[in-house]
Amino acid sequence: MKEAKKKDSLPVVLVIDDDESVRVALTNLFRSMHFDVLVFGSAPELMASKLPDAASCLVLDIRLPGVNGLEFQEELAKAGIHLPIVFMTGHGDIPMSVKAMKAGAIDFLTKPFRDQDMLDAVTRALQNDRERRDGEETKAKLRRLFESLTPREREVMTLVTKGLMNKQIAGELSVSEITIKIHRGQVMRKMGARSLADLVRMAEGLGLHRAKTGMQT
Amino acid sequence: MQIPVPIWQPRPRVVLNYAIAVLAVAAALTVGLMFEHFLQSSPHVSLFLCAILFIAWACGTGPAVFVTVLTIAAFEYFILEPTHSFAIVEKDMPRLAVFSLAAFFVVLLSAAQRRSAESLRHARDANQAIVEELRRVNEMLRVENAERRQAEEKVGRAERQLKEAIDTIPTLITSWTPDGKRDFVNAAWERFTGVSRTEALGTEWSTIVHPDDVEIGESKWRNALTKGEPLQIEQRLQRADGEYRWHFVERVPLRDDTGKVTKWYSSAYDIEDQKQAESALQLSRAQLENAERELRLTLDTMPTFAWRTRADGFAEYLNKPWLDYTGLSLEQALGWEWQIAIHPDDRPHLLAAWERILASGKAAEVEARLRRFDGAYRWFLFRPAPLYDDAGNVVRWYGTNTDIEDRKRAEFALQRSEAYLAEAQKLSRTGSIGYDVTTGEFFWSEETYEILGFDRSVEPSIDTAVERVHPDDRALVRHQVERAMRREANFDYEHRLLMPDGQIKHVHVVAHLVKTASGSEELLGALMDVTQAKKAQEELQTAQAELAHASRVATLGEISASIAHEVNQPLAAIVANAQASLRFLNHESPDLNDVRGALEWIVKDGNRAAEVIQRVRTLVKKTDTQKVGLDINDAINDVVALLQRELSAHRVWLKLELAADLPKVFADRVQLQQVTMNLIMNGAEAMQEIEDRPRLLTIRSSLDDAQVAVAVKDCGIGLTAEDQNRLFNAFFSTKPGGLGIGLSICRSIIEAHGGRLWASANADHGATFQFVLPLPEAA
Repeated sequence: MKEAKKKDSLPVVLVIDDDESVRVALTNLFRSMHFDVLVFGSAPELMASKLPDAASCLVLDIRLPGVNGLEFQEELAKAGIHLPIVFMTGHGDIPMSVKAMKAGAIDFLTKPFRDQDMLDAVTRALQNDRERRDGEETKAKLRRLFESLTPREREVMTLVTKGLMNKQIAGELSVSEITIKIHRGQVMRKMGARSLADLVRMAEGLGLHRAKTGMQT
Repeated sequence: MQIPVPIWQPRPRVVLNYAIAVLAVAAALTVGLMFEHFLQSSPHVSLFLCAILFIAWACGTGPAVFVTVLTIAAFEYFILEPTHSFAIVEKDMPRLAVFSLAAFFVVLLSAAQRRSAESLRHARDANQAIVEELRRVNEMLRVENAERRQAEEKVGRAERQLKEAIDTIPTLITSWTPDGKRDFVNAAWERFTGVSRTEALGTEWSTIVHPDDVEIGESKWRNALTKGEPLQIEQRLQRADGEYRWHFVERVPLRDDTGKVTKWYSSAYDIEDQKQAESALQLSRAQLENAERELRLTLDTMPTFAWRTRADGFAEYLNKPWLDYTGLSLEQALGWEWQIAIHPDDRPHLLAAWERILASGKAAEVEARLRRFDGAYRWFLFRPAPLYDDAGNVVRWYGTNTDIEDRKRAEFALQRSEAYLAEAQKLSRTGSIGYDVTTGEFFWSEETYEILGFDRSVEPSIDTAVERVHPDDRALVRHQVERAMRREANFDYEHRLLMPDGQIKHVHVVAHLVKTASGSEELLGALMDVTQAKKAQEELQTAQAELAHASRVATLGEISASIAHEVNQPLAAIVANAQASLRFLNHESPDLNDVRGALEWIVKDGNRAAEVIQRVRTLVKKTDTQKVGLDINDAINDVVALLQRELSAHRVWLKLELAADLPKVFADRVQLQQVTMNLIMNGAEAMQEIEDRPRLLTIRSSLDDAQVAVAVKDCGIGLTAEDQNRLFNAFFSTKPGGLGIGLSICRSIIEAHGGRLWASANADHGATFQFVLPLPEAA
């Protein structure tokens, strides 16, 4: 799956529902809301196709054949797809809905739903995605910069942003302090950080100090 | 000569005499007194003397004396002075004395007169008697004379006749001299022997006798001659033609006054025929004896007991086997004693029957138990038969006893088994029917009559039976009758009976054609009253239908969430489409095509929702079984449509392998849908715990061996062998909290359709539930 950069394309709503009627109806609905719609009959279908390069969100029935909506949510996250999800359900699944919301769903609507509710949810979702995408871009840029660093520089950056003093870093890396200072300066320059605080933020953004387990933000 | 009239003398009785005497005296007295009075004369003495005379003459001496005394007294009393007293004056005493003397003289005289008269009479009588006698003798002599003359004539006649007779009668008559020589033979003798009279004179007896008889005849004749005793002998005498013929010869002596034999007379008559008859008789007697002996032997050898009684039943003879069997001796059993060998319980009955038989005089049979020598009793058939004389009266009874113990046992066994059968028939409400195809004879057992409601006197026939058949079923029954006429072999059908009182009975008839030992063909069958069973079955079916319905409702309840979902889907689509349409219309330049599309989908979705509701409603409905031509795939699809959501919610992956062009089965749609639904749900639930493989549920329909087959295969936890056995039992469930009636109802439904439902464990994982339904019979 590739990500193409197209900032100015229409937002796309991705719909997964096994029921054709529902797909058609949702298509009509979203188009009437001036959204672009892509429909899929099943989760695998979605996974097999190319995601649009635009802000998008996912509207899916929580009970899809073969796969639990929540599980799918996890699967997507594992696959690095961070689409915001709006769940629908034909059942009155209250416990399910709580779980879904806790898992970070944008909203949970029961069929038949009010169009306004769907509109609001999708709008929110798309907004999220847009923000995310923007965030993603920024992160991408940072990553490129980070990659332009030499390995030693990367090490230094990591340790500096950890809060270690130059001396400590020199000791850690078994080089002289001066070397560290030089590396530091390079890092600052390459990364475009104007201050240590900036660098720290950048490091956080790069997730240099992330724990192994954690939720995707 | 004339006999003079004897002197009459009255002889009145004695008392009368004395009474007359008194009267006479009284009369004399009275007359005397009257004379005295009227005529002044007193002839008293004379009168008294008259009286005395009269009495002496009339009454005899005694009364005369009495009268005398009376007259004297009267004279004295009445006549002599003083009158009326007995005193006598002296002067009258001579008068009295004279009177008395006179009186007595009179009495004496009269007495004497009487005496002489008496003796005269006697003499006369005697004389007369002698004359009488003489006359009589004379007469007698005369008669005798006449008789003698007659007799002489008669004798002469008789002699002649005798002579004729002697010469005529066929008996051979001979007379002999005392020393045994012939001196006369009659004509018959002459004719028979061919020897003339003259030639025979002086000959000995043996001249015409058969040589073989001579010796014995000789000794007997000698004996007779000597003793003078009559002789009887049978001898063969020679006929003129030389033939010897048996004769019975009798010789009697004629004695004279001194007892000396003066002549012998003999007669001989032909007994040849008799003799022959006798020898024939002897022969036949000998034969008879032989026969009797043989009979006795037979009677004593043959195993049957035989006996003979008098006409009154008194036993005269019992054969050896009888005696051997009972262990009695002939003496012990003769007469009436044989009765002791009869079983005490049977004795009254036997004796009563015996009495009846004796009275009726006709042969008959009676059964009774006879005691064996060892005390055991066995059943025997007593068969007396009468022997009649010419007049038709019974003179003897002959009888046999035959051992029928085995037959009796068989009879009892048969009776018992018949009783059991009858009882069994009654209890099970099954009647027997039989129809002899050759003779056309019908048989109905007791219970058949009962079921059909006919009186026992009714003659069984097809038409009679059909009377009872319910009008609507008559065509069916007639068809079966035609089949029977065509000698078809097997029958098994049910129909209704309509009884006269309007009651309806259900009957089940089974029959088959058998060939009997005698070669004829018979239709043997049973008629079972299954009304109760039918009723019970109907009630059961009703209950089952209710249960099935309840089960359906329960199942629907279980999947209600899914159903709600099924409805919600189209509803959601409808709402979304409608909303979309409104929004489209609010666009600056609305694309009506979009609107149209949306509206079309609304219609479709609305119908879809309605369908779901309809499906649910169908399942919820409580209907009687309605069998129609049904495409099983349609039913499966309907159910799948309902369950789709549920299955997907449980992550069950449904695979349909439905054969195309399956022939229709004759079934109830709702019920088959229920079964399919149940099986699918069970399959899905069986896979609830499965995580390591896809939860695959396969539904396959196919045509298998002239049956439509449906299989629901899961890959769940499978079945243990134990489960398999109990799976279809009511109230057995492997589900926690499961009622366990689902599968048993499914089985009932399938079986009610003539099919089969079963489960088997798969080779790899899970189980397969299958059912087959028969194709409808070709009409």
